[in-house]
Amino acid sequence: MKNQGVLSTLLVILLALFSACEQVMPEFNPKGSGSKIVIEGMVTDSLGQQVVKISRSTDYLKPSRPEPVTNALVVISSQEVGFDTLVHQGDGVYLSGLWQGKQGSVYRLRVEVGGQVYEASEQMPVLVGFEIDSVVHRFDEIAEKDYLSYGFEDKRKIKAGDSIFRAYFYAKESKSSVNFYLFDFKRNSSFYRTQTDIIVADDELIADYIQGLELPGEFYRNDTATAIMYGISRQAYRYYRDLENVMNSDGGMFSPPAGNPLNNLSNGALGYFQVCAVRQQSIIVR
Amino acid sequence: MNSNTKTKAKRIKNPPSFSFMTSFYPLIASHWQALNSPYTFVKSTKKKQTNEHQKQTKTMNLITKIFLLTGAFCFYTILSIASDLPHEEEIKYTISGKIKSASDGEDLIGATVLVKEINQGAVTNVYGFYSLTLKPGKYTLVISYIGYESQQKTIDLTTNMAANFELVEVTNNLQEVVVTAERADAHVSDVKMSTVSIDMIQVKKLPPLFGEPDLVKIVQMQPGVISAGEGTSSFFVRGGAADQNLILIDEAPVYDPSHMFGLFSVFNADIIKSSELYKGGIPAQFGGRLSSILDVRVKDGNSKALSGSFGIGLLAAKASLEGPIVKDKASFLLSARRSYAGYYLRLSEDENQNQNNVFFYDYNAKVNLQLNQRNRLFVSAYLGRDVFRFGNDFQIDWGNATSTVRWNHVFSDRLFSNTTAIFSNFDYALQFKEPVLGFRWTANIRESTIKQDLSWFINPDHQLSFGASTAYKVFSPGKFKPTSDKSIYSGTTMQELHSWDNALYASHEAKLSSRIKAELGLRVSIFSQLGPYEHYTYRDPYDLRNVQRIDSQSFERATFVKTFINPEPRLSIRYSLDPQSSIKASYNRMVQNTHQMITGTTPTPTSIWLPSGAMIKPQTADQVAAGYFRNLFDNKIETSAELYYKKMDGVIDFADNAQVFFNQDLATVLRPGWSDSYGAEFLLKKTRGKLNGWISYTWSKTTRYIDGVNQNQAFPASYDRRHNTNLVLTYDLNERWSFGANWVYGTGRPITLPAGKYQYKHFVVDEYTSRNGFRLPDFHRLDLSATLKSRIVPGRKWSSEWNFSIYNAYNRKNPFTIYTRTVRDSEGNTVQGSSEKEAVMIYLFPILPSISYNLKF
Repeated sequence: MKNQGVLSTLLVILLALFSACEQVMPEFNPKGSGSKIVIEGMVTDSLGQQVVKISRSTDYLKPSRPEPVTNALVVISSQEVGFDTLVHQGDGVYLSGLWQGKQGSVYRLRVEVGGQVYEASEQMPVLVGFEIDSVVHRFDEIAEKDYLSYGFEDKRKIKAGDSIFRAYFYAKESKSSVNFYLFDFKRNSSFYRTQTDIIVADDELIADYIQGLELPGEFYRNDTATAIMYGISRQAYRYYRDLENVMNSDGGMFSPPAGNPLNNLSNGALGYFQVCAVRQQSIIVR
Repeated sequence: MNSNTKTKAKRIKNPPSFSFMTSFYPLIASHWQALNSPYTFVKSTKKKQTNEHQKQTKTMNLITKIFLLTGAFCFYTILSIASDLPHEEEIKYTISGKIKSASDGEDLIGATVLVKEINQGAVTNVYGFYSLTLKPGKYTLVISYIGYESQQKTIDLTTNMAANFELVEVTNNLQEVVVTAERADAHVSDVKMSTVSIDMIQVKKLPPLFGEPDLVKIVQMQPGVISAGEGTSSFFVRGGAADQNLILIDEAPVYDPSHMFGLFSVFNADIIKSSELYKGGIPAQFGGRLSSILDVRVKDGNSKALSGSFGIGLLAAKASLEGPIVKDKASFLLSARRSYAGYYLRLSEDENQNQNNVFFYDYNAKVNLQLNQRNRLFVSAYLGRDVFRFGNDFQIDWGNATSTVRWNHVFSDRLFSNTTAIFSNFDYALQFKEPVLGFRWTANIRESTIKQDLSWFINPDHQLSFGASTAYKVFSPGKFKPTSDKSIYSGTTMQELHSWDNALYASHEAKLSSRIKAELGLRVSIFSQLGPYEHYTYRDPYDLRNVQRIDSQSFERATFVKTFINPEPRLSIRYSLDPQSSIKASYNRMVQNTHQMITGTTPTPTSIWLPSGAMIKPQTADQVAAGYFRNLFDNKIETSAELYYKKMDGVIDFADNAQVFFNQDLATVLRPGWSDSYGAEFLLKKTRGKLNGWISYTWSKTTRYIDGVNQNQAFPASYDRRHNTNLVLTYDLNERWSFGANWVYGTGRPITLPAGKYQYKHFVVDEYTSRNGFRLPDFHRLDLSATLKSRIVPGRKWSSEWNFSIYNAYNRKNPFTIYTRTVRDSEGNTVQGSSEKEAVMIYLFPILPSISYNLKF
């Protein structure tokens, strides 16, 4: 599960031990692959507008935001919703009508850009026997000095003397079916976002009862701590594991060679069309 | 392959005297029986055997028999030819015995006994034994060994006789050693090529890293050998992967030769007697790996007097003690080495650092008993371990344990036997102590082997070696246990894999004319995966997006899951052009049945080993090599140029982003394919005099062709480094001072790096276009050392030396690897929310002076 964690720990040890040195290489500027299409699609079982984002890959050193694709024809189809043509909202974001996905149903995505067609299809997993029981919080420590707290999107300035809390979640997992999960965590309305942490689980290695798994990040009085769990397909699990490998690549020192994560999109498109069931649980820190 | 064997089988009108073979090799007999018994090969409990399946099994049986017969036949033929060689009517007598060092009683390996009158001779084997069969008469024998004073002895050969010799070391190493023997020209006259003997005395004079001389570092500087950079003890021989080297310590295989992720090797330089690296033309006696054999032998222990040594360097200290148990009859050797890198960490003021602990240790023990003139027994053991403790939570540790029991028996003056029992275990553990996320992961591989080797010294022109081995190996790829009952993990175990590895070999070394010498060998490897085993069939084994088991098949204990039989022919020929030069050529086929799943370039113990079987096919390699060998200035300088081509089938690579860590469906991430390598190696070596050393240059190219990797396009192996140059020099200034220097240069190794980037969710993701599509900058480094010996005081029983060295003398920042990350600010913190990326080069060692002290008594 924490494959990369172990390997990057080895890397850290090695570097620390042998006074290994690092040096940024400004001369590294490979030529891009000719800007591939990147699709980030998501259909969930909660009622709302389903979202597909389309952009292109760029040269390595370009500091710019991704290049949005604004002229695509995007269609999601299924037995329940028929054909829903998504509407471009600007910046490469396309929204569907108001509907919710159904567990067990198959959803198809078709994207047409500049005469090229990219397709994907995925079945929404049926979530059985997994429930987040509760999220609890515990006092951790008093901040010793002023600092900026990273991790959640809203960076927070912490003052010396502030009380810091940690949040933990409890969940039940049934072994009756094979399930895969992706987790997200929120402090109030802001997500926990780093470039390296992707928290996924394969229930094969997980015990029947998760007793107090610590949420990442720090919480403070009156914060709402939320754990969100997405039931994802085996293929999506695989995609996130690959993505984790790429995001934490050490250049092949310990880890296997990196490559583009395997996805469910045709025609060489990057990204993923994720169809998932969502559960969440919150607690207010007092 | 089938048709070929069938034709051969047809030619056998009367099966050769198989009874001889079976009585000689209970092993063949048991295999033969096994093949006829109902419990052969695939025996499934869940699935009914279909007709086709039975047919297949029958065919397999047939093929097996044919192979065994063919093997036996070749063997028999060689035997009969060989036994014909000394004509019946001719009376001949044998002189045989041992050659030892007079100072400590150690066997001298490769010492020569030259018969002056006929200008022919014998060479001692790895146990110091020689045998010469000659017509009756008076002869002058010259016994010599490099670094020792030669002896002459006149004999009157009228009956079989034994003669042991003890040679005295040349004490004044400033005078050039006068070696009268022809042995000095072994480089030119030996049939073997692509082989390097590593001189341990020289190893100790060369600049060591952190003051610890290391055999593997010197292996990495030989022509045809490529290293992944620095700080790693893996090496790559003629386009072979790191797991294609068979590393033996007193004949026991060492599965992981590295300490501290490869910073050092497991070999303690103080106790190594000899080490030989075979890169090509590998004798039939060795097998099991595709690319090379590193045969390391530990000293037997001083049988004359108690002696010992003590050494201390920057990172490790070591001590050894050896001596007679009964003078000239029995001796022992004990040695220990331990690192104390961890103490430096504790001194650190950084709280994160001083809780870490890192250490390794090695223990070697050996007992050597001369039971009588004909029998000798050796027992040797090695135990080594590495421990990395990171804070209080995280620990990784691994180690090898090997033991060897050897019995040398002289059947007759001409037939030498060595029976060996070997045990080897390699295990590792990874532990994370934490109430909720804690786990302990353990894995190991263990093997037990019995081996019988025989050498038959027919006459000075013919020598026959033959033998057999059988080994049982158990691979346990992983046990995963939660460390507390609150853990979110449940325990699970990856299934153990069992295998039975057998081999037979025969090899005939013959001097065919005054110019031509040849060694013809055949090895047959018979490898079976045995039950218990649960075999899974996948909907599409290469579709990683959706791994789906569709069927499983159970095999019970001790049933055959799959058997592979592979003949491995070997041939080496030497043609002398004149006394100073020769041409040599060789062909060898090698088969590998234990495979390591190596993930990164740094050797991590977590790279698991797996046997051939239902999941993996054997790897095979065919190598041809040819070379020109010439000695100059009365054998003081050896030169050679060799060309090779090697094709390897069944090599294994990983699919992109392979999940290797605890993957129950490992079969789905492995991608078999093939690889080829060719190159030219040039060597100029000076072995005698004040100034010793070598310069070598290797040009090589290694390409891999793996379906499912790199869009099915050929790609360079991660150790494909086009140009490699090594310059190694040692200079003895006077009795006290000697100096060493080495300079290495190599093309940067290929590496997989992104070609672009894109955004998915909040992640800025690297986009890859090709495997190993980039190259690291070139690697070069100069190391220097000076050794100061204590003054020679008559009567003083101890001596000591200081070694001063500078690693990376001109402080080159040699890249170890390059990785990419989100940009960091000037304080080194990741710029949060930035989509900018940067490439970062890691280099390991800046200029690094070190000092070590060694004491001997």
